[in-house]
Amino acid sequence: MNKDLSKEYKEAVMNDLPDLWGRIEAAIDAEENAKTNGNETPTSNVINFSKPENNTVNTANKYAVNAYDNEPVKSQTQKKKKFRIPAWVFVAVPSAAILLLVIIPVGFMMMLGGMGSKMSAPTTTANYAYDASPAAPTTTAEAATEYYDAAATCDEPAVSEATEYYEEDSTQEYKNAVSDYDFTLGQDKLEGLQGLMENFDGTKSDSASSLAPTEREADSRVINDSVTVKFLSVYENEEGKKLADIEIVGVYGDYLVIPEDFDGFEAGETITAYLKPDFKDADFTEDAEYDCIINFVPDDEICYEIEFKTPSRTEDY
Amino acid sequence: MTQEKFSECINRIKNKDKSGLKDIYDEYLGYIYSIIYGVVNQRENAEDVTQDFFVKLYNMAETMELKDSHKTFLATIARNMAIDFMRKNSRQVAVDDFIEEGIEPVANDKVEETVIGDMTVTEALATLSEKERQVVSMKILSDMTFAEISEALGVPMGTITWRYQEAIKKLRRLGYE
Repeated sequence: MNKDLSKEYKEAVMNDLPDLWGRIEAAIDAEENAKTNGNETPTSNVINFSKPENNTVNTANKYAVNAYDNEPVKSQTQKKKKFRIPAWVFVAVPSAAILLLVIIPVGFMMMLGGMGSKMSAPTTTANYAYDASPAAPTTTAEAATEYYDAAATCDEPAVSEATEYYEEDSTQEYKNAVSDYDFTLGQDKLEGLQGLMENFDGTKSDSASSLAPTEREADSRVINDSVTVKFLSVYENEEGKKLADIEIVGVYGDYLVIPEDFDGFEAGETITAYLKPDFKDADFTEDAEYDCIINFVPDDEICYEIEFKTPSRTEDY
Repeated sequence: MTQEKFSECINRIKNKDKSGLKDIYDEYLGYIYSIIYGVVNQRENAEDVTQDFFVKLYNMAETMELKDSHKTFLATIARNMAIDFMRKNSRQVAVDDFIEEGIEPVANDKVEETVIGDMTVTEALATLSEKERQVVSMKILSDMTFAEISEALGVPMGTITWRYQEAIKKLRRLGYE
């Protein structure tokens, strides 16, 4: 037994209608009173200097309440003048704060950074060289020892030879080390990114931007549901896009789905979907079954797009 | 209510005669309330917005110029006020006591035909998720298009359509078409 959802829902709400007339009338009266009172006695800025016994007390007006004392009334501005801060303070205090909090720490950090880089550079180079070729430092150290020995004995040709060997050797090692290091790192990163992209939405992506979907994107990701469908009718809409009314015959395989709460397609369900442009010229046999993928189209009322699971099958159509 | 009758009511309101508003209230309370309820999905809030709607109508009568059908005009104002309210109260209260009377969501495969047959619309709606119920309410009660719902909720239209279809699918299992 099928029931009419729309009719019953409307009836349920209608049966539960509140009586709001009293509230509405009261609200209108209150507004009108406020308007009338507002026009007659704009009390917000009125200062009453009379004694309380002769006047109606307006507790909302603090100036009037202050005036009940016989002391001369002082305005807020007059009171403020007592505590007036010299103008230079407004310039000096922020400047000092900026100097203390920003300029000095930044300068200090830069100084430290400069020293640090000078100190750390040779170490890093040596580390790269060591990583690339564990034997290299030994060779270099031997060359250096030869250099110092030669220098100590004032043997000029020996010094020159040792220097050349040392320079060539260390430069070459450094280059090798850097190229090896970068290559390894880049390869790891690339593989990591690709893996992450594949796991995230089931498709390979060209852009790393898909790694950080916005909330809106996360709400409307692509589904890929493997289904067998029958084409009931194929037609074009006003925009010239090809649409198909399809009946889901069977569902198999897994699907990756967002938006949430999707239970998957059900056999016997009928949906309308866009036909992927690649297949717009294909002919469809009535009652024939086709294996398809259904994608989610986020910004459209017809939120499905259908494509064929095996493109070669379109040759038969 | 005919267009002439409505204009006559507005003229009475212009003369500060509340009976003009009362006539409109009597005629359209249900219509306006259900539109607003469809968007805000909570009884107290719907009552507040409905009250504000009639007060606003009373205040704007003087400057009102009707070009289209007054019913469409009233519906547009009511819908916009409800959407404004919903946006201001960003934590949307979508579960209503009207729907939420201690009903547990029903496991679809365990429900017997007799139980399904006896299920009221409020019980059936209680089986939907909040988001689904909101889309169904906006679509059915407020008579909004998917594009309007999408704009009001700031959610892609495909998602709205999707939620609606999922909701309808669940309700169909419970005997609602």
